[in-house]
Amino acid sequence: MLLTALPPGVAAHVRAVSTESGAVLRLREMGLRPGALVRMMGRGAGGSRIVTIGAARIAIDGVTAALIDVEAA
Amino acid sequence: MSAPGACHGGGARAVVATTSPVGTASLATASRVPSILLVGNPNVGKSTLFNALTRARQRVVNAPGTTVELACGVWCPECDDVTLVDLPGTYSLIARSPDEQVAADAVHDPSHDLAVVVLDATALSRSLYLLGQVARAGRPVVAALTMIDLAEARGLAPNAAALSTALGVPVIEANGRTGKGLQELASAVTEALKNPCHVKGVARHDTAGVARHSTAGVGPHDDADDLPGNLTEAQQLFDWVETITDAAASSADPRATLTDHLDRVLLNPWVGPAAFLAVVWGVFQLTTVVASPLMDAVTRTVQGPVAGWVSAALVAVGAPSWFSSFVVGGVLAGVGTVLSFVPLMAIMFASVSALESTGYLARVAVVADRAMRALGLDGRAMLPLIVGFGCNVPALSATAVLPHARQRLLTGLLVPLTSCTARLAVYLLLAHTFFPHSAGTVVFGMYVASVALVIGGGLLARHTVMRDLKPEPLIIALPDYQLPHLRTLAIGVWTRIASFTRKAGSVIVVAVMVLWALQAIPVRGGHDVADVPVADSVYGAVAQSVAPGLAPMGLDDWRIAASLVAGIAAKEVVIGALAQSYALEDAKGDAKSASLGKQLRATVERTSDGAAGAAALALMVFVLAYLPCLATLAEQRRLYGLRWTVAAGSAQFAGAYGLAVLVFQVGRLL
Repeated sequence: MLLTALPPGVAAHVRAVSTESGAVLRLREMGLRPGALVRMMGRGAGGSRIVTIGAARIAIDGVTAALIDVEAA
Repeated sequence: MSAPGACHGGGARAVVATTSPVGTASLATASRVPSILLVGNPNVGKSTLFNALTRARQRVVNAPGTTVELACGVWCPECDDVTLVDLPGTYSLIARSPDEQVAADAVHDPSHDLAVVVLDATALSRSLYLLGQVARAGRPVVAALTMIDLAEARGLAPNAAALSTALGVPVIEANGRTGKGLQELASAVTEALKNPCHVKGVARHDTAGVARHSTAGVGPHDDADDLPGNLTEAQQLFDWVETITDAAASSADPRATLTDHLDRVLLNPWVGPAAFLAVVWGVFQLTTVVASPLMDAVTRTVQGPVAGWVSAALVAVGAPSWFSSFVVGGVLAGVGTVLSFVPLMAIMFASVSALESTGYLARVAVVADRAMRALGLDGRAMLPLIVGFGCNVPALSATAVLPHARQRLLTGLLVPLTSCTARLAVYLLLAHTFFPHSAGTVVFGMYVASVALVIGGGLLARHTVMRDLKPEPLIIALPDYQLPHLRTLAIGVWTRIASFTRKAGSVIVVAVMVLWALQAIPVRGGHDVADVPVADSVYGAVAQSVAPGLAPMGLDDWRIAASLVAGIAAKEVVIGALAQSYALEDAKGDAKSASLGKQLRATVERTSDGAAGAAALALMVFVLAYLPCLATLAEQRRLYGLRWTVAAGSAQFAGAYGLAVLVFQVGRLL
């Protein structure tokens, strides 16, 4: 499923990011790497998504979040 | 050119720039003071640590050839001074913005002796990735582990000793707020300068090989640049990071903290934007309620007792009257204008710094992202635009947070439409004079108008000259909320105010002195120099020729025209120029005891045929938008070139004129 469809409070593993742009590298540098466990904190203003990876909180705009494929943990 | 991260004049030593093997210049000092870089992700407590280590022995400089600011200081780890450079926060040395490029260039410059890499205990994996890149660049490393208390609150504090063992370099738990661990950090750095430590398990590149990421003159990476190669190199570091976190970090589920609860409110799609507007409104209430009386007090002191003492002293030493007039009416008036502006700047800088250090500005980027996307920008563009409400000049520098040149250009062209605090002083005078019972609302309305102009200007540009602009993805770390650290805040405000008085202050003083000279030189009537009615001076003649152009906005008066011409030099000169015109008339006996506000009201009542309120609003709108100050224009020209600066300025002037005429013509009918 897409990250945007992950309900608040639910954890999932990142499977892939479906873009070839430089955003892939920055997402990985921020911790959103294939296999990483992310937990959805909720939807932010403007359609963004707030996730945690370990103790780190990351905000991702809605368009980019819709490019991230995850699998429920 | 000297090295990225090189400190020019940091401390008391002479600094000499030399050329390094990688093409960037290197820092050297007469006595070869060791140079240490402070490297870390944004919002990891790096600047707090820097302030705790260097205290007041620091200054802000621009990285050579850029508008990126660096703080450089002198640190005395164990009684031998070293130069400490606080690099811009970055997530990666594969740069995607000018700030990140400066950090990457500095790390790859071999003239720096050591990197102190700040590791965020709440985001260890991300911090270790950056540390791995620093190690790969060949820099000896000491690690400072911060945010331990916040990681403990989440039940995820890493083990510093295990981390040190796994990395093979010293890892010191340090807290710039409390001072904890600073002595241990000093000892570790002193030892590392004697016996450099390199991180285990990361293959070091030679500097020339790595410099392909960072060669001077090459900008931040575009999307297509070397992506497969970068991903491969990054993956090697990700694998290494995993081995380190397996050895030293907790894998438990994090506990929810106050930050999580606050974020549910402050990032909420409905409450978030309202909370943001409330915060902005609060900041501007602070500037109007607190700064206004302080400005008045400074102005009264300079124009009253100080001017009196200086005049008396000049008379006592037998100075000619024209010289006394120049000193009091030119130099002292200029200095008084600058000083009166300081409280406003201090409050605005303190407010923005406090918002940043609490972690709220990162949330602003999220809350504002959708709105900014309509302009082809992302939420990060909100930061320079907010800074613009303090002062347009640092706001132009803040556009460096944006990764692409076109985004920086558009944001930089919109910045002059944000209403800086200099314009606030004009609104305050006009609002209190013409709308005494609703001055606060009128001033707030001017800020709403400023936001509307930014949006309108952005949309216009997006559909004309910026059609190719694509928004960048917003991927941003949200730090834990913290109370601002007062000492860090105070040092930051002091440094910025000092920079303002040096850079803008000199322009303002010179502008006021030039105004005095224009008013002192007669063009008709056979008057002596410095003893001429303003109407017969060069200044009056120019203003009289311009004034009819203001008739459609109900402001056909040479004094108002003159103040607007003077305001191109600096907006804070507008009031000074008005006061100067009326004061000079006072000297000739006209309108002797009326205050500036009363005289201005009488003038506008006459020029607007009784629609003074509409004309005053038109004047405020015109002052908001007609042209940025000289310092802003100069910075725009430096960043974007003459063509863009002239084109944007012309469009802004035409738009301001049209709007002001519209406001008056509609307002007079109501």
